[in-house]
Amino acid sequence: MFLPLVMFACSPDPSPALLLAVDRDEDGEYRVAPRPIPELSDAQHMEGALGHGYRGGRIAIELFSADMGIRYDEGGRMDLDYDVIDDVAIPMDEDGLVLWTYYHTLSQVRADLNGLGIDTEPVWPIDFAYQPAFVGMDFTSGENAAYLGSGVHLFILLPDALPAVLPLAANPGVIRHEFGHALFNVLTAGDAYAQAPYDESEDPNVTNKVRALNEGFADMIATLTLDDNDFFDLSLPSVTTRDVAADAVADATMYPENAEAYDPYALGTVYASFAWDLRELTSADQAVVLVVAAVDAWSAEAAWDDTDRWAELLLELSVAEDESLKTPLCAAFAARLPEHPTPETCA
Amino acid sequence: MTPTLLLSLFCGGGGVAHAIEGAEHSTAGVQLSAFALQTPARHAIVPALGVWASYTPRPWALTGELTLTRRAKTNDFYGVSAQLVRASALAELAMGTRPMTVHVGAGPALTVSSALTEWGETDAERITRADLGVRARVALDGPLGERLAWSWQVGVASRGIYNWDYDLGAGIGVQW
Repeated sequence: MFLPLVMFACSPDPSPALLLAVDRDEDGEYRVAPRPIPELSDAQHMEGALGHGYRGGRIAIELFSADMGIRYDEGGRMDLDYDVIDDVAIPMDEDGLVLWTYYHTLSQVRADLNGLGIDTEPVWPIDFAYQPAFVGMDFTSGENAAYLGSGVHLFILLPDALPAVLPLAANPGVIRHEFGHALFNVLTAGDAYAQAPYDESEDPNVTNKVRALNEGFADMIATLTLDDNDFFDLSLPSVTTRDVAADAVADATMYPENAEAYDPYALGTVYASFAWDLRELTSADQAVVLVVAAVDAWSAEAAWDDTDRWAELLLELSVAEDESLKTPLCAAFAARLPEHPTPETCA
Repeated sequence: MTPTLLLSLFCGGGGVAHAIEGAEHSTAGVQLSAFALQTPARHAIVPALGVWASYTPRPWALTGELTLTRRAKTNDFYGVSAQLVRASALAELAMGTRPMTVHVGAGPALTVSSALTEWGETDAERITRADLGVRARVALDGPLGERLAWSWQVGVASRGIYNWDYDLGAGIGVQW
């Protein structure tokens, strides 16, 4: 057991110029291609300015603490195996492709949003755990990727249960969606590690409503920064309910007061679809800037119990920027949220 | 497993007597294993096929193993298929009540991994690596009739320093 160990293989260049990753090309097609990831300083161990990766580890609820806090016990250091051929790092395992795609996606969304004047710097770094064990939490391998807020500020990537499709953890839209949750946490809680004020509400309806907007906002970040209305199609072709260009319309059952087992994605998709309506009238870049500004404004009002107010604010901000948007956007609002009173801007 | 084989396993038979009589014996066979293969970021469970040969002059034994496993994933965007071949030689303690022998041993292992990564319409690269490491195992073996032998083992092997694979397997072979 304690024989001296010798490795024949030499360690590859830790900072290759290009790495293989799944990305959306300018022609709108997703494909594997060599991409730079400037923030990834150590491609072998998945360490860099955007966060460090760990294999395994354990996520546990501190059952006996006053706030039932969640904590992550770090796992081992990652150790990707790859070779650099013609300046491109080629992984020897699917995990390498998944993890480089993950990191590249974060790098891109950071560059995209910072370039639009949206400050994402308070979000970084976010460490991430690949296939951690869960103690006392209800996660399944079907979830594939998740953001843990609640003071933990951690991404979780899970290996995929479906063999024939692109793993959700390697889907650029899904990673941008999870990043959207982290940004939402920063925008509303003020700090990446802070407990969000709505999480402390004793009324579960408040928490659930914000969950719906949080899911919707995450979809907005994914769809608008990729300019793709249905990024789920790559990994889950059978799921059609998340297409934000479809006809999602809010009804009373989508609000937690009227639901027994609450599904935040239904109302979230309505909000994200309204943001996509704005994108159709303007551009993806303009829409994402306004969407973030609306969350900022909604958070400043602390209107946690009224997530439709966010849609009103998006309308207000958009019309304030471009008066010609008033008629079509008011029509879109009325179509997406038919039971909501007419907003002041549209009256 | 037939009742006859079970009897051979637990109660012994002609083959058992044969094994007891000898101060040393040899076995060789094929083995099916479940591998917990350490990938860069986790352990993946994959099947493995191997062959082994043991020379057992009690209380010592010398065992050689050759194991092959494959892991592949293909989707619309990429395909990664990796093969791993491991050869190991173990110096072992051989003990236990006859006819069953308990092996506890360790030794060097050489693992050759070869991965083919395909993407795009025509792009593909094959990368091959050789890693030295260590192998340790606890195994049981015994006779199964006149000439046949069975084996069961649990083991661990490293590729380099940081990658550790675990395996659990059972096999059937011959003895002389």
